[in-house]
Amino acid sequence: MESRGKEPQPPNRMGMGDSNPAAVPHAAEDIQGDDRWMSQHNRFVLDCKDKEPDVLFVGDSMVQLLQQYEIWRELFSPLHALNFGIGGDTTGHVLWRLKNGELENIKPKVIVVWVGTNNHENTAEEVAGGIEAIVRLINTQQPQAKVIVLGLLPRGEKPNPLRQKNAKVNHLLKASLPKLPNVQLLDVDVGFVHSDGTISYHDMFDFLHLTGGGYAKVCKPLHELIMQLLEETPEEKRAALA
Amino acid sequence: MAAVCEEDPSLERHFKGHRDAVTSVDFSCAKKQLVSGSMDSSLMIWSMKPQMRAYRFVGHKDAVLCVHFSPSGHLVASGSRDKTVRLWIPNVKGESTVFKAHTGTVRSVHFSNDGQSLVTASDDKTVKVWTVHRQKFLFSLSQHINWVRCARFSPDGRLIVSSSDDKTVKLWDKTSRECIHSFCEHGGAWLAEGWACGNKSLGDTTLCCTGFIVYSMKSSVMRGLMNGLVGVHSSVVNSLSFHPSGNYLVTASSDSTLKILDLLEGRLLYTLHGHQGPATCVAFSRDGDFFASGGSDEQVMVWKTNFDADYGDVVKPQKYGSSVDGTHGTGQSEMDCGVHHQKTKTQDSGRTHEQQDEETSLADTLEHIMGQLDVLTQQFTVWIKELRDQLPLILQQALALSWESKLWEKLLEVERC
Repeated sequence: MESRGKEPQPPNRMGMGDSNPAAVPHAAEDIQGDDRWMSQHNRFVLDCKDKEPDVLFVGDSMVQLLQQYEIWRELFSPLHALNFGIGGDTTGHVLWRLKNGELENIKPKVIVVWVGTNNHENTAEEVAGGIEAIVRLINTQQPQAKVIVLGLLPRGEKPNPLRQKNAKVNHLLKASLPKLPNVQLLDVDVGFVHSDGTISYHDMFDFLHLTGGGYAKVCKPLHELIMQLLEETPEEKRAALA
Repeated sequence: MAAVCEEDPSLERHFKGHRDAVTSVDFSCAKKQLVSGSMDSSLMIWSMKPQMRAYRFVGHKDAVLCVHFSPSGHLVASGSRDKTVRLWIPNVKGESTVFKAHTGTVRSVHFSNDGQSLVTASDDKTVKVWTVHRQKFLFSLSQHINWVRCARFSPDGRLIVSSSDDKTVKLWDKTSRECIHSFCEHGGAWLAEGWACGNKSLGDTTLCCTGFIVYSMKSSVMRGLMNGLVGVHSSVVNSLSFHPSGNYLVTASSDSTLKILDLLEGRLLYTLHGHQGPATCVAFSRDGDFFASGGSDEQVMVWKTNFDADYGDVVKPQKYGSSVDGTHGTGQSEMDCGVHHQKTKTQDSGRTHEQQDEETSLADTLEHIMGQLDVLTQQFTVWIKELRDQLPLILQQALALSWESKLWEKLLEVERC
């Protein structure tokens, strides 16, 4: 199934026609009744007005929870990073948020995208397409930013179809992302699945979300890559020559 | 005819002209001029004299983040996101010299008290010192490992204090160029959101205020007092300024208020409302009679401090004979319907003679209220007149705006969704 995330799509939750439903921007419905999703989005938009992030993290709960651990303060706060993660978000939610203010007024040098594990209604191809749509949107709105797409992590204590699906998404992205400018895929699965096929709760306390220890393992390569990209920015190059 | 209470700070002038958030303000020593810098890349020079025009200085290619008058008042320094520093002559011609000071955004510029040196701080993690004459680079202080938000000379010019996003405040000796002390922000939350730097010597105690926490360089007694001031604002403190006496501090916060803090007793004195949206910068005049504030609402406000000379002395408000003169300033200011300068005075059982004096007779209180009503009526009259005058212009601008591309975009988006 082709994904045409580039052209403006009408909000199409039924996935009719040949558009990729995972690449359709849509806001979350307030099912529970406290409108928290919108509150978080609004706060992020306000952050864009005040803050001057060099690094932006956007995605689902994998991104969101990272800020609650000490490692965020140690590694990412000093880089002037902002965290726009919302738990439960799919690619469609992230697309909507980025189109509706979360990329305005800021000029980050690096944008980290980590989303896709919640796209339960979509196939692996659609999810990959949704992530590509996000990258293309970022390339348009923030041409100066280097994008890091994090590979989806395995989930569940024992082998299950979602692990295969996430692996497939990563596989597809590995082929398609090199064709887009300024983006890299970073595989942060540092070996969460043990030889017996299980994932430990020491790494993922609910077999989906990372513990502090789990994040430490993931953030090491991520932080290194971000530092590398930050040092590569054109301004620094010019200054070095001057 | 009626009494004007002279104790509380009052709004004197209200300047509009910037086209984006105001980032910094400073008074000239003679207090005749006020300079403001803005995200709109320009500086504006405002005159306290009602007849004088304001000047807009254009030249920076990006947001102006800091401005400072030289001690003589003959020069204005400005630092910008365009990485340059400009020295302007604050007159109608607005000539300036520009020099590329840093390889990152310039966050702070500050003249030494003798007017000979300029210290700048930048996102490039350095603090640099320059001669004012010919803008010669003297030396660089490079121990910070993150953006340096602010750098200031001590009043005697021998020390430089700098605060940075690396969570330290560093004290440097200007002569030896060494870092003689480095304060780490202790425990608790990351205060990256708001750093401000003020510097004042009180005898042998230098106070430096960053974000929420005030550091005392030498006296631990002061530190205790200052810790009581933590949490005074409900949001980030963006800027602060010490009253020349060293007894008061005015802070500007993203919670849109300005607060005046008593440093001797370590408590809140006044909360001033007026800005719509975050108050981004505040500065006392050199003699402390006035202070100016700027906000994200693009406005610059000038307030009269109205403190008596000696704190703690009995202040008897002028009940008789104080006339329209007290309101002369406000009458001339450009009042705006959005501005309601509410002052809330904190009641404190530990308060001194002033409170006792306030509880005067009922007749005095009534006279006082009448006086306030007069002031308000005057202000309303001015406001209505201004609004009426500006109405055609407002309509014209609204019409012009409706053709702006941004609005078209919004319309297109709405159509799409």
